[in-house]
Amino acid sequence: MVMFGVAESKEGGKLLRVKVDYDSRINNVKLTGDFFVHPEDEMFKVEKLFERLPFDEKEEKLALLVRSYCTKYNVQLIGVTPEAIAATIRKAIANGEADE
Amino acid sequence: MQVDNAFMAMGIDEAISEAVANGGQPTIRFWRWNPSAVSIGYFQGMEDEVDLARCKELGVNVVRRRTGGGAVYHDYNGEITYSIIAKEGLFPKGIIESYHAICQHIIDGLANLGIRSEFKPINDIIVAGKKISGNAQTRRNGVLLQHGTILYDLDVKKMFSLLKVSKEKISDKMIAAVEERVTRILNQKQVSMDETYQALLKGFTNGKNWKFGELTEEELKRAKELAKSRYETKEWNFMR
Repeated sequence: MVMFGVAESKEGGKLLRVKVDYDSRINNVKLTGDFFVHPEDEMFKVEKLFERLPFDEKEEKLALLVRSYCTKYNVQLIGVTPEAIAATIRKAIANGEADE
Repeated sequence: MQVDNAFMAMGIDEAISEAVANGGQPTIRFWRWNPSAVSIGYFQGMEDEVDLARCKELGVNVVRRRTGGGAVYHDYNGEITYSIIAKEGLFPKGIIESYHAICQHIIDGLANLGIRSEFKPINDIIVAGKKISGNAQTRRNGVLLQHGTILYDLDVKKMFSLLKVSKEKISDKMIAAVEERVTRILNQKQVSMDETYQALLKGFTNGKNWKFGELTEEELKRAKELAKSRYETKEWNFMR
């Protein structure tokens, strides 16, 4: 059964909204909000990091994935942090409802 | 000051950025939005942020920017927008430092009007704790573009009607809360929009070797192409 969850946070200083759809694995994550990312188009690659991960993947691992990617490719997150992204994904999954 | 519709405004910023990347001069421009418009940040969801039906009803254009940041209501009579476009190397390497360096020119401009303001990281300018200017930056192909608004006047009720805030939540209390967080030029000094523009121009150009210019034919042509092929399109504006 496909589930769909949404959550928001302002942990990093700017608003982050996470929309996630998942079953036993994360299918798709969308990160929106009024934060900044440099270079901008790296954000779409960050979203792809979570695809196919188990839906109950630990928050620490989600954060580490983002942090490692940003370090490797010199991506700067302004107003949002890897930890905020990870925590909000977990919150969105916790909020999940069946996607009709 | 230039006056542009939302799509041409974004097209002009990008066209000048391309020209600068190809060796063109650093450029500062000041402009107003006509029709009034809502712009959203690059990472925002259009339908999350904007009451599209209300915008259509009021003839307010809606456009996605190439810069991050939040949803902004650009009232033709309510604000002055600036864009600064130059090679990245002319600015501090750090993002926050470069915001500060560019915002310092606005702070100097406001000081010319007798308004004391300060930079508030990440990207705001405040007067006595209240926001008077928001700014957004992108760096692409070795060129830094920063644009931002200086609030001259603001109709908070109208802004709320265009941006997606739960209508049940728009109470006098909420409007009062916004009034506590933002200020306008007209809250500080009784000056005209033109006086404000002149003060800001001086803030940006003081001590610099500069001259007034016009868009080149190529820049104008490219801006029109970009307005039509990107900024007016559903694919761009509704990409998220």
